[in-house]
Amino acid sequence: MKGNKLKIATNILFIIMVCLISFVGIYVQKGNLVENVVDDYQLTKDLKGYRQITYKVSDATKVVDSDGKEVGNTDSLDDSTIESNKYKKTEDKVNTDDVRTAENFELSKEILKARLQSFQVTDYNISVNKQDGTIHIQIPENDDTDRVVSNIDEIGNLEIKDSEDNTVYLTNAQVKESKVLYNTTEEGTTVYLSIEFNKEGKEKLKELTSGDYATLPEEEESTEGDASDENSTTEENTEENTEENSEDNKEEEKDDSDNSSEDASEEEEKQKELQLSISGNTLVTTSFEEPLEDGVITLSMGSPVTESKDVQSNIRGATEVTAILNSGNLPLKYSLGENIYVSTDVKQDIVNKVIIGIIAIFAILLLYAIIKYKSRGILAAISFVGFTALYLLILRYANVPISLETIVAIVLVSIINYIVIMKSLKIERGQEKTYRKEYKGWAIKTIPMLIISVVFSFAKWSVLSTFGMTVFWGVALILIYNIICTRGMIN
Amino acid sequence: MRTKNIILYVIICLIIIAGIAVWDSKGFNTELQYSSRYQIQISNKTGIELSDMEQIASEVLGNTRHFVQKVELFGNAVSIVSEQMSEEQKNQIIDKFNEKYDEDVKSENINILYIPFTRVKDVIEPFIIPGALTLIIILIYFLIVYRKLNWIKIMVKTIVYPVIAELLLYSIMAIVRIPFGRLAIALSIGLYLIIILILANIFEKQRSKYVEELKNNPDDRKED
Repeated sequence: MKGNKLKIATNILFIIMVCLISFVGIYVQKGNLVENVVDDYQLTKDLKGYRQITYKVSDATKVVDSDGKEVGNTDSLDDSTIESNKYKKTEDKVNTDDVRTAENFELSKEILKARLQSFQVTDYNISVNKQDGTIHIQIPENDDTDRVVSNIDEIGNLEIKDSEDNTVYLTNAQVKESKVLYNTTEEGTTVYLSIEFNKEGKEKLKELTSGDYATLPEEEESTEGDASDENSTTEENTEENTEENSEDNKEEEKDDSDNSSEDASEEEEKQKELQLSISGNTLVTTSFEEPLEDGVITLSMGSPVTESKDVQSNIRGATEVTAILNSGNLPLKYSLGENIYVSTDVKQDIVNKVIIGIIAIFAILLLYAIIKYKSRGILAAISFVGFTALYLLILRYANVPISLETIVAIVLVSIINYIVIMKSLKIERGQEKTYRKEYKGWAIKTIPMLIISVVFSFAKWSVLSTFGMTVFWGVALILIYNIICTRGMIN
Repeated sequence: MRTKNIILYVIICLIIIAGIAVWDSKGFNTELQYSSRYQIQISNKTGIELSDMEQIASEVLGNTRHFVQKVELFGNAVSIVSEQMSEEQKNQIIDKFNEKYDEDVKSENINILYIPFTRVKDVIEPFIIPGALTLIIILIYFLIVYRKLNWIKIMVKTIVYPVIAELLLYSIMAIVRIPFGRLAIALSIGLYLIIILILANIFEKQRSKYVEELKNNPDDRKED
């Protein structure tokens, strides 16, 4: 008897302590301030705020240089840049009227959706105006939001073309998949962007890399390197002109820059290079020493690095490119319109009223238990409050973001806990066997809930994952808390 | 008991049919966040009280669904979102704002932004695959654990009950015009969980009863 009283007293003290920590907090002096060191709740965008972004179909026109080559558009180049470089604005729109169709607007929305998911943004709202193609997006506000906003509207068109005459050989249509790879050596970790082409692309790539764009052999060192650009070193080579081709009779040893330009231009014409660009940005210009037979181009994203933050940064950059390539290229060019942080429309006083309402309902239910079971009812009510306090504390430390779905899950778990407690109260004190049998029954009944909660926890959609995590912790706590604490107090 | 069950099933079917008919003709009454809406943004240098703007918005927009929310982090910009907003209403809001805060915001500097609706399909699409996956796993679990019971009944109940429950919820929402929004999704997921828990309870009771009967009559190994 005395042992039971001690057990009950210990449990009550434990519950009081947990309640104080959970509902009040632990305050510690830090400098001149007193801070609560207990982790605060994390809120999702529905309860905290979000970034509201608008992408409009661009009305920009193309900008060309003095040779008539396109260098950008009026969105990407300002007037002073155009003037200083003697570029010219044209009347050609980047988005012609024939691409401004409802189908393309819808396709753009789907592509942006896919890109958001690639950037691990799962909690979003997206809608498209079918009249003018304007796309509205709401995403959570966090450290990655700016990066997402600046990247997802890239056109994403991949082009493999001749570096001189811009003949395009391969585009997104031939891309099967792109991936991020990395390799660690003594020098550090190198991150690679791997682009795999489909069957058609593979054959074309093989043809190009074994044909015109193969690196020309270094015949007796006289043709080593291209005179085209960077080579500024002078070497003294012996003259060994053994070119077979009559057109190449003029090729000589590599001299200094006084070499005749005729020779330089002839060497340039010989060595053709392929240029790979994404969204107009050139990633690499090169010829190929060996033909690419597996249909995969692997590009290194920077030099080897050793610091983990640098590795993460390179991986992030490569991931951005793969996210854009894998989702397909946008049929229209978009310009960023609105980009603002908006606080939630769910008012704090409404949330407070809902919470008070829920507390009131459970208070009535606990009152019923107290009236029906008297002293055991009081102990059951104390146990219930302790469970709630511990549950909320676990959710904070498990970093479960609080959303409307989480609140519903917390209410559900609390109802289930209440039912379990009421069933425990029905069992008379001391009936250990009956209690064990009942407990086993509850445990078996909660297994499907655990299955659902685990599957949902791994869902990409944050609505489901927050719900799943909340239910998982709740069910696990019901099973453990009731056998350790509640049983000791009421049974 | 059987008559009661039949009546209940008939009522449920009628509600679902009515719900489908209402959805087909009118669609859901979606929450403003998911509906087509108009938005204006007002800011000043000194700061804006949300309650003041809510009052102004209520005076001008009346019973039209609307809400006011703070924009950015400096407390000096708000966004007024409404189901309908005319130029005249916009001008009235700006005039009242200027009067309240002694400002001189020009109406021509503020545009009404139209935000189209978010499709309900886009909202619930991410739920379909995980929901179906959990249903399959739980079905397999029930079939294994309660294999001594009638497996056809288990299969039918496990698939039909959650589907009917969700259809019933959405039908009631369509008929009663409860706004479909974030809370509706939360309730939908919660309902799915409750139904599965109820099914587990039913099957467990049936199994306990079967085991008891087997204990009492070991020679009679009959299935439910």
